[in-house]
Amino acid sequence: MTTATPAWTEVMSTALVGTDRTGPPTWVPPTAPDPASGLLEVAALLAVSRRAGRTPEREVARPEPAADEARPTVGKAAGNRLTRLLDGNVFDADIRGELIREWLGLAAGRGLVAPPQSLPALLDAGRASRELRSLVAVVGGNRARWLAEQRPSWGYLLEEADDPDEVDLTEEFDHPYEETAAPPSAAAVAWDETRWQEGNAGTRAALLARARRGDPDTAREHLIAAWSKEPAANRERFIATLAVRLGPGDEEFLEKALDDRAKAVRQQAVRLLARLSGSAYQERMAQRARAAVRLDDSGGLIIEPPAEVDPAMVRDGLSADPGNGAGYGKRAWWLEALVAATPLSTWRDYAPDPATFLLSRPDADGWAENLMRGLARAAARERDVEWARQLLAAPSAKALLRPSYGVRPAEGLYELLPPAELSEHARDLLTDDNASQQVYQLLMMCPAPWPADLGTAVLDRVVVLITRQRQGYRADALCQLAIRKLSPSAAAEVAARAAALRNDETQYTYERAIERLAEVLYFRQKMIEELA
Amino acid sequence: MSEVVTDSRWSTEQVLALAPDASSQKAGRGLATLQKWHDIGHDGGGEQPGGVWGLCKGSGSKPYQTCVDLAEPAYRCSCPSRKFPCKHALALLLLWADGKLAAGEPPEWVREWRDSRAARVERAKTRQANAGPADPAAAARTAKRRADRVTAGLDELDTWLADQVRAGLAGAGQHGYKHWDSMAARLVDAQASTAASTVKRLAGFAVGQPADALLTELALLRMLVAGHRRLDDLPPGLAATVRQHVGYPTSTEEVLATPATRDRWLVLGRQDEAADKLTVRRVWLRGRQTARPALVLAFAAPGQALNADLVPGTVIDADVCFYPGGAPLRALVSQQHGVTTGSGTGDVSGSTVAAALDDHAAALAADPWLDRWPVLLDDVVVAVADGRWHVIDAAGDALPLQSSVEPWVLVAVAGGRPVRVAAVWTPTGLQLMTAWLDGKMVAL
Repeated sequence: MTTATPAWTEVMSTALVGTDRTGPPTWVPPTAPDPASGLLEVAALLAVSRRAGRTPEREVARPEPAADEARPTVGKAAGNRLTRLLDGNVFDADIRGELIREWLGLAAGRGLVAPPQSLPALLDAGRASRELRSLVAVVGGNRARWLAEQRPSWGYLLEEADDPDEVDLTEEFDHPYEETAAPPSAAAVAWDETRWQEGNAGTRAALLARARRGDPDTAREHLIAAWSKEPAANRERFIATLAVRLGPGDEEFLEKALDDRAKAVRQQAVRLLARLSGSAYQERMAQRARAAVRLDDSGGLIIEPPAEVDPAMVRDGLSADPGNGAGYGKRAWWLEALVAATPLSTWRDYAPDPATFLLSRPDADGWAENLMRGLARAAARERDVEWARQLLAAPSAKALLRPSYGVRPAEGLYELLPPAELSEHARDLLTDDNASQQVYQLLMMCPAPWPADLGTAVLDRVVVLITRQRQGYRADALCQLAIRKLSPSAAAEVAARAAALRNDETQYTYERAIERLAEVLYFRQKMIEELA
Repeated sequence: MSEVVTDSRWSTEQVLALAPDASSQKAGRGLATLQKWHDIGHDGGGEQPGGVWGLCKGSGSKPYQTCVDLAEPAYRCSCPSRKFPCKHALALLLLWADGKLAAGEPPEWVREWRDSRAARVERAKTRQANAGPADPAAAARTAKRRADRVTAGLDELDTWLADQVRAGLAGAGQHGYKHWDSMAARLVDAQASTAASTVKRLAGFAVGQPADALLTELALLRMLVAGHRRLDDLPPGLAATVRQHVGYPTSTEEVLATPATRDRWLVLGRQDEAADKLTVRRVWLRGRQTARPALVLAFAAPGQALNADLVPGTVIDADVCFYPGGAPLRALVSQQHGVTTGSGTGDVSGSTVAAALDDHAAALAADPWLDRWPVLLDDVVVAVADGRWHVIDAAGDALPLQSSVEPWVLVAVAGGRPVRVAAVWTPTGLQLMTAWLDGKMVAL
């Protein structure tokens, strides 16, 4: 090469334009057959020397390492199981979702964290499913938060509390916390002003909820002090914590919240006031209820729901347009809502045995169903077991299974019954061919795991349905429920029944349903063992 | 939570890596429970690999006989599956990896299989030794005809390359695939298959990449043409490299006839790439004593299982024969003496970023067309800078990862602490394969 080697950029720009237009570059070696080939020869030398001469970059900053994990990591087998669930190689998506939730719940309960390599998939799962998030925050540990800080799509995690003690408090709104057995220690409920000022929304809500367990009035004062500056989403989340040890002292604040700008906050205030015995809100609703449900001169019952709602009623949560999701009209909804917010004691003025009196009235005008549903919601709110039994025994109790705003009135009642009584209800309905929908609802309400005798009854039913023509799909639906609700210790029994069906001469369409149930139960059994 | 891993047992991940596809993994896991097996056991241990065996109940009356020889590994199963290894073999290995198998004496049918396999290997060796070119004169004529064809094809390529530069590369993105494919097809006809694939890939460089990449590839092709013209004047190593990049075939026998390099080879990782009508698996090795890299290739038609004998994270004691070339990299495992499997890297030493780049430069000097180079980097942390991920070693030297990669699993596992990584260095950045943290392997 006679001339000096050109810079890569010069060769590059000549190549882009093309040697036909630039003419032969001066730096092309004279030995080259033509300018274009010569350019490529020079480019080859430069390209290889650029590759070979590549130097490391020096300006890349090291990341801040993640904090050490305070809690131990789950065992290897448990970690592998989580990875399998997250990889999506087992069962179908619904079952996997349930199992991931169960896995996370078990790990959280044992105070363990998930292995680091599972975290990217776990954080993705939390992004896709809101209900997993609080569990992901706890079980992901410090490492998951550290990761979430680095990737915006995982940022949701930073809004979740990560202390296992805090999660239940912010999640479970409707369970009264005052019933927990031991009073909390002073340290557990101590106010931490720094966390209140600097924590994320989840942490602050948890802090409030805990403080409520210690001293509800002081906790409320902290909330009131900050109230006007909080965004609506925070106001909604924080006001919900008043459910913890709700008392007369909260009434004034909740009454004001009925006028809040945000609908979600107003709804929370309505929910809480309806639960607050002796509140002016309850009295207003009772007055309206007494006007709508009244005695005539001969002691008979007249039901006449409001024909329209006035602004005061709207303020108390009676929507002008309640929708008709369950097939009821507006007035029926209003009747139900009024009765639901009215103290059950109100009806003692009507008859010595108000339940029997109200429920046995002949339904001449079509309002009886909503009256009953309202009473059921009131019974659930007041946790009145006797009313619950009487309502569930009523001839038209099936109407309590229709949802209103996503809640079935019957659910609250079943929750009040002791498990044995509950599973008795379910067992009675199981063999009723005309009640299959109700059975699903009821079985869904029976808390997991089902008592042994209920589990056996369900399996008996599953086998019967599989062997029947055209009813196999019902067996499948029952198995879907059993996957979540049946005790994993029943796995061997389920497997035995599946084997019996398989070895039977006949080939049944839905045999697979019970086999899969056995597989999932075995899976859960191992999962629980691994996280014990 | 305690974890007892004896030196010779594989990890669950390593076993699963053997599976030809995801459904086999799933099926294997489903069978990996002792209830489904009887007469199950293993032998060997420590340095002696041994084998595992068992009888698995299938749909028929007769149970399937499954056994695995752990040295290769080699599999046998009486089931009709055409997957390899089948789910039964995988399940058996999973149970073994889990520590669920008891040591014992192999039953008669396992011993028979081992004997017949040993005999087969012996026969193959003998056949190889006896085989020679049937007719040296005919072979020479074939070789001459091929060389003529290749020369003609490369001459045409040379003209074509110059034409691209005459017209200017600025318009290269406007060409359709046909522009590149027809030149590639011409080279296929000329039996210059590797050069043909390189030309075919140019279409990808012409669109959506800085023009530097296209010019580099064209220039390297021009250098290949020039090298091929001077083939007889080049030193033998470099000549072999040129022949390899043009696409002259090298027979397995030829490679196996070269002196073998015995070492303990760490299987750094593997990469599967779907090329047209063929899936290519690249398995990268690194020798403990020799510190040499090696690349073992496997090919399969789409949907067919790739050879999975070399398990990432294992250390194999093996004879390796290299394909001839200036910087020999591609290799064959001619004989495997055993597998040592901890989850660590078996004393195979890694390097700094600077040293890895030095090695790469030295390899480029001998093979300027080299575009993949395996590295084993010690004590690197992963960090992002301007949206591009990097690894940084203890000295503060950083290498970028390929831009499409977001290495979240590695980030999660390392938590900002230093790890050892095995990766492949390419002109567009690092491709991560495997990481080790506190001696434990993580597949990436």
